[in-house]
Amino acid sequence: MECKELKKVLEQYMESGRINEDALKHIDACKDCAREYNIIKEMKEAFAVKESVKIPQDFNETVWKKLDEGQAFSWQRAFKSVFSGPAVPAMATAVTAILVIAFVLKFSTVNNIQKIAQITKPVTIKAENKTAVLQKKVQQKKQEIIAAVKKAINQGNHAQAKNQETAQNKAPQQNQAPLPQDMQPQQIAQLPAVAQAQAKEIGMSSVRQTSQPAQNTKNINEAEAKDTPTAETSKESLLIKNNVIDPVKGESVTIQYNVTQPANILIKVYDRLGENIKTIESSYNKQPGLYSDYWNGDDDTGAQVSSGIYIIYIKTGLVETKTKVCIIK
Amino acid sequence: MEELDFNEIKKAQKGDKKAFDSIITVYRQRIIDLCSRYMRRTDEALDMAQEVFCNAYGELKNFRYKSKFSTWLYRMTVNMCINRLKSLKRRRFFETGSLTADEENNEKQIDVADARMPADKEMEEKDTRNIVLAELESLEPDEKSVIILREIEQVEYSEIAEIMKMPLGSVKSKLTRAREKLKQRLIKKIGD
Repeated sequence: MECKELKKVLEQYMESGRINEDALKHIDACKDCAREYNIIKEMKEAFAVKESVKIPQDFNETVWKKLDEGQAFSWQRAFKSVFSGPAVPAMATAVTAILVIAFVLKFSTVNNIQKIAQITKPVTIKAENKTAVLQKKVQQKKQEIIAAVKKAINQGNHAQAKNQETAQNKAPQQNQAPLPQDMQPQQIAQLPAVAQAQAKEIGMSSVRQTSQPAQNTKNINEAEAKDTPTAETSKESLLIKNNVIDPVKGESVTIQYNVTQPANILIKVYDRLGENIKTIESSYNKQPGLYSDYWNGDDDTGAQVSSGIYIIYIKTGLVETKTKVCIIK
Repeated sequence: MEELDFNEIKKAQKGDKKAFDSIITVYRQRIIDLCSRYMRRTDEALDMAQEVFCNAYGELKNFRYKSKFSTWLYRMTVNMCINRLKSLKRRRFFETGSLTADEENNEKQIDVADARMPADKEMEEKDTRNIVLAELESLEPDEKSVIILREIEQVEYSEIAEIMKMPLGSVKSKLTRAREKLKQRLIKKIGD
């Protein structure tokens, strides 16, 4: 007999418990088959042991007791059956996770929208109280000057009307008008320039460039026409453009500010930890004019700063403020 | 194998408590023994058997007399035991972290539901029968069931097919595979 044949015999032996003599001879000769036979024998012996559990005397009573308990509905048992199962930890974790995600999503979305709206909104910083007081003074002075100029012009027109009959050609009013009684011609000629100078001195908003000469009354008329409100004046004091930039694309923050009288200018960039990473402008006694500074997202060493929120501190003669700038790469 | 008269079962179906009590009395030994093959602990086997009879009382109206009552009861027992073992395994998995007492945090050792003797401890006893039964426990539920029913309980193939709700051929092939698997595992354990 071969080992293959013996395997079939052993299967039959497992089923019936009987084995023929040929198979036994082979088992005596073959070590592997002997080992297999012994294992099957052990299995059969193990299964053959009939161990009966001793039945307790109150078995039937216990069953009936359980049945009686089962028939009466109990909220406690119902609760136990639902919440004491092995799946409860998984269920509880899942429910908690869903609640947390829902909570985070809801509030983070609202906050993000608000933050984005704040960041992307064009930043226009109003002048502070100090500036507002100055602007009122400017307004008053301006009106006084305009009134004086108008008076002078009216007086000039009146004199011109009187001389119209004798005059052949129409010369400019100011040149040909007879002098008013209380003003010299030189004074009239000088008035617009003085007004301009005064306006410049008190920081009129319509006068943008100090280098631009103001020689005639046209400028004053423009000033009258543009009689700007305080908000506009404050707008022109400081203007920050592109406060969300991507330095990689070559974008930069533009800080435009107005200097009406010599003042110290300080523009610095701070990170969220309050560390000064860049000084954009630090000028002493800067002359009046309209200036623009740019920040392209680098620090004092010239390296690009990482993405995030930065704060630009601006101090001019008119304004002292801080504004947030977002760097997104 | 003693079988109860169908009249008694009919009475029990109509709500006769005495008839159902006689059902318990006739079948309790077999059901407890079968439960003990699965649960391997007497107290758990008794508890399980009681639950089987409680369940049978509720499901009795669904018995259609198409098979022997013992077959119907065996099927219920096998299913309930397999489900119970699965739930014990899951519970053991979830409670793994708190098996030991933590004196620093004032945590006491919990009473683990499945407190059967672990297989490795039984190995130390060098008792071949225990080793065989321990290995039997490591088989798949279906394989374990066919071995228990056929080898230990000596149930006929056709009845096993009814109990396990599978074709006769499947029962035979499953039994052959289960025997082979068990044999190979035992060769590894005690073969040398």
